[in-house]
Amino acid sequence: MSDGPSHASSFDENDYARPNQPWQCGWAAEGHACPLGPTPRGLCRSAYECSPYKDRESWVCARTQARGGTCDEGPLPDGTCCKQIQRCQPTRSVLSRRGVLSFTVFAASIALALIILGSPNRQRLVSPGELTSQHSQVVDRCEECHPGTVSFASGWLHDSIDDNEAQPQSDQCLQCHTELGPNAKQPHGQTSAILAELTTLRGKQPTESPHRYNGEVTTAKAIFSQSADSQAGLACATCHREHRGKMADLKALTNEQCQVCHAESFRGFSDGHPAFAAYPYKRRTRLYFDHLSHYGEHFAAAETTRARKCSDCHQPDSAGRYMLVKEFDSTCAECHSHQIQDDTTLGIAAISLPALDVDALRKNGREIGQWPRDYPLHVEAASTISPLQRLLLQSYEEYEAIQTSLSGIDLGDLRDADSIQLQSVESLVWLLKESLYDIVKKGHPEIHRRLTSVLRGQVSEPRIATLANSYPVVIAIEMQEVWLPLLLAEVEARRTGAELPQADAVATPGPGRVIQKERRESEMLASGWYLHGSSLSLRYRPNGHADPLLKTLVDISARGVVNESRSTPTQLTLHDLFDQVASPFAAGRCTKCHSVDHDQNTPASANWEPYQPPLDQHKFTRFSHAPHVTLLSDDACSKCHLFNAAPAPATSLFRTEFIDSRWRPAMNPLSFESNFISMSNIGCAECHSDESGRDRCLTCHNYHVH
Amino acid sequence: MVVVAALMLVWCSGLMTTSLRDTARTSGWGLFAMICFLAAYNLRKKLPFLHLGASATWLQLHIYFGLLTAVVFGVHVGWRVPNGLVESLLTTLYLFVFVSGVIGLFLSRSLPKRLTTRGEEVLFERIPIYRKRIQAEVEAFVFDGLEASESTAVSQFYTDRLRPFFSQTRNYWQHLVQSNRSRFGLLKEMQAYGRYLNDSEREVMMRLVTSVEAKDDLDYQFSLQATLKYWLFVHVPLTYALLVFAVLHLLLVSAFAGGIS
Repeated sequence: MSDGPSHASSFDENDYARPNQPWQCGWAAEGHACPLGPTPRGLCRSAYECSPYKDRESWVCARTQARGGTCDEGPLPDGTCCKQIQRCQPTRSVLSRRGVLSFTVFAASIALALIILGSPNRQRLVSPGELTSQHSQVVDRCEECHPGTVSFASGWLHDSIDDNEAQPQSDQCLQCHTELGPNAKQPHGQTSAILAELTTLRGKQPTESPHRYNGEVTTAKAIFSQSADSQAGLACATCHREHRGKMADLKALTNEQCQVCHAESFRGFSDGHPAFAAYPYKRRTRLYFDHLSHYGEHFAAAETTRARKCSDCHQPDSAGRYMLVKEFDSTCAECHSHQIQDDTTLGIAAISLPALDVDALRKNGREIGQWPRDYPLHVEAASTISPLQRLLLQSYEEYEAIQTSLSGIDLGDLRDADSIQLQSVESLVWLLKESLYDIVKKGHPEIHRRLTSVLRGQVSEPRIATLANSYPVVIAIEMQEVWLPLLLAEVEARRTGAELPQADAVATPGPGRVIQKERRESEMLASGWYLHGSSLSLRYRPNGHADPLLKTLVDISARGVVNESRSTPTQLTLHDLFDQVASPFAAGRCTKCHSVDHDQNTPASANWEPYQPPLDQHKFTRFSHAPHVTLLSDDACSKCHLFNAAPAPATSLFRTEFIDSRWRPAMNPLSFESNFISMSNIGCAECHSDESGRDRCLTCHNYHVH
Repeated sequence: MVVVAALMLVWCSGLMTTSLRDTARTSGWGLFAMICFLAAYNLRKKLPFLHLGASATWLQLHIYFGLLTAVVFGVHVGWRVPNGLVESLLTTLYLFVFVSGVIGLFLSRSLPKRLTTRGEEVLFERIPIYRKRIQAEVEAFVFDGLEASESTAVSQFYTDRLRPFFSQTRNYWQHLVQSNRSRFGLLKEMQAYGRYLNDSEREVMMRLVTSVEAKDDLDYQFSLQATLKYWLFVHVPLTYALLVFAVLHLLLVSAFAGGIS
């Protein structure tokens, strides 16, 4: 830039400008700056207006035109200018002022940084933001989540250089989040082997809609792929970014972020999402309820005009996620309670007196004492011993040998039995009498002791106690008094070696009294324990739905349903008991509705309850019924759960996935044909579309599976 | 080119975010490197003897990278307002530096052209000298005329209205926005005052008009040149503060890193 023509432009008429010097002469603004200028430290040199030069012998004034040209006085004799410049206050140049300001700001910044780091409240000051409301309630200090950051000098500076603190930080997270399991840092909390298996399974499943290319995900995977096989696993902070405020969503992930680790990628739920595979019907229902027959036949035939709706039997759980089955009393009881308390079926026999070929025994000299042979109404007496009674007999050491000897023998026809077998029958009779004697004399403690000796290790102690304490000792005494009045005397005589008492020595109740008593029992005791004269047995009918004793019997007997090649005598007896109590026609008809599950690895178990959603289980997929049912109309359920219009032809009274052809519970829950057609995601996509913004992966899927 | 680079950065950061990579760490280091490079431009000006490339090239790169930092910064903070103390301070400093830089870019592109359109181009440091000189000239002929005519009309007018105008720089902001309102107002006032003057006084007044225009042009030059220099009083010092807190931020985030790959 040059000075304009109207301003002095010659060198002589201008002071020498030094804009890059930090200090400028204080007179510069007055138009006559000192020719020397201030010192570098900003001190005035207090110079003269010129520096005279010597021309031959005299000094000549050298004042510039800018200062008025040559002065009249001229230099002093010693060559000094006669016009000393008055001292000024030098000023900083623009550049220098900027430098000073920069240095000041720089120094102030460092000071402020040190103040922050040295402050007692430094943790709060350096915090990058508030924690979420959940974490802020339990976390007070940085080191609770960031290990090794206790002090500034030894912690923060060291950690800023050392990258190895990252995983311990995730470990800190997992100290509280123990519910995530041992593989929490692995993808989905699963081992790489499981993930590989799931990927393989996924590859075998069909895709409902054609695979759509997601360019962003594909490119991201190609450039920034993450290895799922890393031993260290993923840090929690990979997905969960804290310090973003109390209301921040720590679980926020985009669909693309979810897909970037997956083998397949697609554009959205409505555009390329894999088809549902048999969803949600992975197994048969725990309760045997045939929707097709009920809606197709039973409800139509019922004498009611009330419209049957899904909500009659189903309701959302408290969280609104699962549709639960309502209580028995408000659903099935209306039509099925009478079947449970059906007094036309025989109860479960606990103690029975088998029908014996008494004549053959006595003819061959076998002494069995008193035995109810002549009662005219004992036509239903069985020639076998009930399984429940066998459990008690197995507590006697000699029973196993007797049972082996009598294998294949009909106790009611001993005409072809040899002497050894007849002797075994005699021993059996006395064993039956002794066991009844022990029950009558010693009561529940004796029953408990004997059942424990047989079932210990296979059945839990509380269940044994429940069963033992359920035995009706009083009725057993009555049974003994009615049908074997000489029993006590006979057993005591046999134990002491005395002669057995004769029937005439003891008052025997007449047939009329017995018939009267039996009739009273059959009429008044439609449920509970009762003496059944026709079969000479003490039996039990359930008192109604969810009868505790019957459930105990089914649970105990189910322990005997194991691989038959490895069955013990006790397990065989339990299996027989299971066949007796778990028949769909047995008293209570438990298994008519309650399915029994069994596989090679675990004992059989009855499903007494419908599906109970686990409170702490996180599966890959979740669905919340309540908002869907609320938003939609009464027929909301049928929009997704469509009846299977073409069920398998009925070849049995029962559906074969629940009751097999031998009228026993089918025990494979995975072998079934659902009443409903497997769901399709097409219907879901009508609402959960890209346009609605409700098609996020995390809407239906959990990342942490445990 | 800057727009294309910005779009590429946004796209890459989107891919990194999709891949659950630590976008903040990568963009943070990138941003720190860019800020260091931008700050080094000032160093380059202080070390001309090192042959570090032409200053014009540095300036051009300074502008490009400076504009790009806005995108990198946005990616780094996730396009949200940080709420920590250090982070908020850092963001404020960055915004001041960036905005002052953009304003400086605009000024350095527009003001030099305007400087050539009015008055004479003078060195900024000499403007006070010229202002003094003009004032001295004006006072000389005003008060010389007073002695000659015995009339005090012009000198009174000068004392009342023009001395404050000549004694210091005036109308800084009006010159900056290219407004001549004050100039025309003063000249109009002088013209109106002329009807009360005799011929000799009117002649003096005409010289005064010329001097007023010269002084106003000088003020115009001062206003624009000062603005060209003074925006750096915000941009440069805050850059140093930004560097200090960027280093502090770097230490903290490294110490408290969450271990994202």
